[in-house]
Amino acid sequence: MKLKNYKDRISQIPSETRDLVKFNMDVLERIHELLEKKFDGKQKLLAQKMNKSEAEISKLLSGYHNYTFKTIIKLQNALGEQILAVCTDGVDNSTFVQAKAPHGYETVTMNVSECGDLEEVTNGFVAANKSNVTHKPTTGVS
Amino acid sequence: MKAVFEIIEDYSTELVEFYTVRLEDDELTEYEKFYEKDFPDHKEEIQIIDSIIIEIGLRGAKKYQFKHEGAADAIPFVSDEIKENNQNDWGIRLYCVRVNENVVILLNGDIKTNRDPERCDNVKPHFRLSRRIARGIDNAIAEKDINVTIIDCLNHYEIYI
Repeated sequence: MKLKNYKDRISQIPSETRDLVKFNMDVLERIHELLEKKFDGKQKLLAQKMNKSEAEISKLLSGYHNYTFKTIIKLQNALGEQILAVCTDGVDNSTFVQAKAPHGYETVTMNVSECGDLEEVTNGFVAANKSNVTHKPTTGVS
Repeated sequence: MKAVFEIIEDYSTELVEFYTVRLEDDELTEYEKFYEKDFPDHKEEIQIIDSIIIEIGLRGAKKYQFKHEGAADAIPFVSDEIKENNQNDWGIRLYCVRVNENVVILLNGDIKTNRDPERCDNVKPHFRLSRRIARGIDNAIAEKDINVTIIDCLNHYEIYI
């Protein structure tokens, strides 16, 4: 089924709105990644750490929000790692070690020998699980 | 009542298949009914909903991207900002069913005027339909009538709700 005037409709969305939704989802995804890493995905444990109710945390961690810096800082402190990092001249406390591959892409870590041969070391990010997804490999060299 | 699933080609990606349903012999599918509605005072919200669907298609349908109301789901989860902007209502709600990370069924929706969807005449029928569709899908999965892990799993599939 095809929707009427779909391309026109989508082209009328201001880039600011598209960027805001994308940024919002990036932040939400990062929070859930840290929740999984630090609290085994359990919102109850994060709620205890933040002295909030589970319902409040559930609301904060679902759907579309306009997070304030204050909320982000509180979440960062509770999760023990940065959610956002800013390019700055000051001391960078970011714990990020590498940029992530875009959605639907796969990264491969490679070693480069002295004579320039490439050797795959480990698989990195893998696109969400679906048997027929076509991965588009991007080779990162480290 | 017969409901036939149809894939929405425009939104579907390699990662997420978006479906809707056509009830009996309706001219429009449930999502088309929503898509063609005019919400002059909620234009930005519609654009946000469109953008959310596109983003879900790019990154997979995660549970936390949806608001869960019983067996039904909705986009978007109401944010404080939307509540502040809409003095007289709770914003637009698009009802849907998130089957798994790769399959989402988009249905109909409207402007929500009460926190409880059962008390809002605008969204009540859409909320109820989404719950019936969700139950129908759950039964079909339990009875192994459908396999929602394969491509095109629901296209033209019929359930009686």
